[in-house]
Amino acid sequence: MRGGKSNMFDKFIGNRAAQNYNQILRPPVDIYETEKEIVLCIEMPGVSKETLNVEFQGSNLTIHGFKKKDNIEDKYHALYSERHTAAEYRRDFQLNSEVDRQKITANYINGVLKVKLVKSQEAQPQKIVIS
Amino acid sequence: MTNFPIRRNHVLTLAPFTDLEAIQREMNRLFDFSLSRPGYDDTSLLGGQWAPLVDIYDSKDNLVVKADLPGLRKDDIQVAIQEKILTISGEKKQELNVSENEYLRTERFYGSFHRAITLPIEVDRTKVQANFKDGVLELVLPKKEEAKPQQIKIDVK
Repeated sequence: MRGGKSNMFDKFIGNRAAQNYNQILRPPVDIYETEKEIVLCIEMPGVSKETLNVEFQGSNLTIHGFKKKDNIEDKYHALYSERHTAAEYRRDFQLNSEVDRQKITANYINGVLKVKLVKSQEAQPQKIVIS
Repeated sequence: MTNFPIRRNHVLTLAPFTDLEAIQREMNRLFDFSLSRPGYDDTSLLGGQWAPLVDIYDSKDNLVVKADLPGLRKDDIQVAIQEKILTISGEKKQELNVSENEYLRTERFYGSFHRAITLPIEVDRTKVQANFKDGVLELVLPKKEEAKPQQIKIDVK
């Protein structure tokens, strides 16, 4: 999946590699920007932390995570199901601000992945003193 | 504005095709709304109504209900059981310290929600176990003894 030139090819390979994950979900996101940082909050309930992946390539930011099949289904009989049992969450973003890649932080709390991107010095607004 | 016939100097200006198109658009929107799954949909006839996605599982002794509640804290969720009706409700609050004009995009839902589910069997509400992890609520509801299926052995001769 990494370094693929064509997006379609990527997707095809991606699907093949993740046959257990029957759907790709586009989770809802909130983005806010302050003077120093850009913060993304993505709703991805039920993802195991190890599968969360934040990737930077050029100005593209890709976030994905896998939701494993619930082992409850082996012991229980499903009467009603709306939730996605096994799925891949995926979102792509294009950033137009320069970001300091060394300072990206991400944490996963209560099913929400919060990614903090610190803007590089040049991208931060400069205050000019008028004499 | 142009979608409505305008009466001007006793001459009725009609735009029948525009009107039809508008009706079609509205009908499509209505169907999309009512047939789509709750949770992930951005068409909103009722203005951002949201309800958590729910699964119900069954075993010999328990019912298990799972609900996706991302971004909620444990204390923001209320669970109530009355006879066979299980209600999950609460309020999802937007992050503090962020002013309105700092948002570039808001797709997530905020506000109060309410979901009522009729359980197939009565449960013992004094023994309910609730667990909230990674935005997923899991409720283990033990079935009432008298509601459990009874096994009757029949001797086959």
